[in-house]
Amino acid sequence: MSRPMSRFQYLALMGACLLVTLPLEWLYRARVYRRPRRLLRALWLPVLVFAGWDAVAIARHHWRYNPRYVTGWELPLRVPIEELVFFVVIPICGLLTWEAVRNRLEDGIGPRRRGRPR
Amino acid sequence: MREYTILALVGVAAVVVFELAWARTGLFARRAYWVTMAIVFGFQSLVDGWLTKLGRGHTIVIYEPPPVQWLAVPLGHPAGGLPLCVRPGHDGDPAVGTFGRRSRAATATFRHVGTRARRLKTSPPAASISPRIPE
Repeated sequence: MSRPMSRFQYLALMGACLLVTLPLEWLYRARVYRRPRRLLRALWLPVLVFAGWDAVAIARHHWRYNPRYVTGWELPLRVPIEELVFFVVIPICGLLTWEAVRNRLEDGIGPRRRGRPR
Repeated sequence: MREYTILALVGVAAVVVFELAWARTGLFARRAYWVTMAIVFGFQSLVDGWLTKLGRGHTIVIYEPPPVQWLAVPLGHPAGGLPLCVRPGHDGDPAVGTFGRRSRAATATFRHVGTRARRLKTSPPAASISPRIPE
């Protein structure tokens, strides 16, 4: 095989992040995916800022990517597609966590705990 | 100090200033925020650890020059401790490079969410915006 599967490793890691945090959407009623317009409004600024930062960092050789683990698909300014995915996925995970924690702590929403009636 | 470290520190400062001077979401005063930060810190460590794991040829994101090793935690990635206060994974010097960068996105998002939360609080009834269904 000329292009081994390992080049999808970074993307696969991002997929795992989405999978792991997905249950928060209903277990704690995070309602992140169910409000796509809100999600977009929360995402666009950080995505823009960090993609820009990334482009600068790449240009100034702060970091680089192991060609073995990235697809090689690049956006303008040599930003790997994986990085854009990262800047979308990680904030979503963060938002899910925030919404879940807030629901749990401030509104008591979430799976019942044994022996602790709500 | 590494250039990326400096940038990361500037990023932290910018976020704090943004919150205190402009956004004023009050997020820093909420327990849920810090609990979220603690959780995110833990998981970011895993993800960042995976991306920057040391070991011949297995690193996905390679820092140049490499972060200072004495701060590396057993997992094999530069860590530190002390999430200063703003965002998860922002540590002392070299670690900032690895952790800080990867965590910034999440924090900025929280900021943004907070901003909206504050604005919404003063406008229509909260229930219509984030319905809390009573059990």
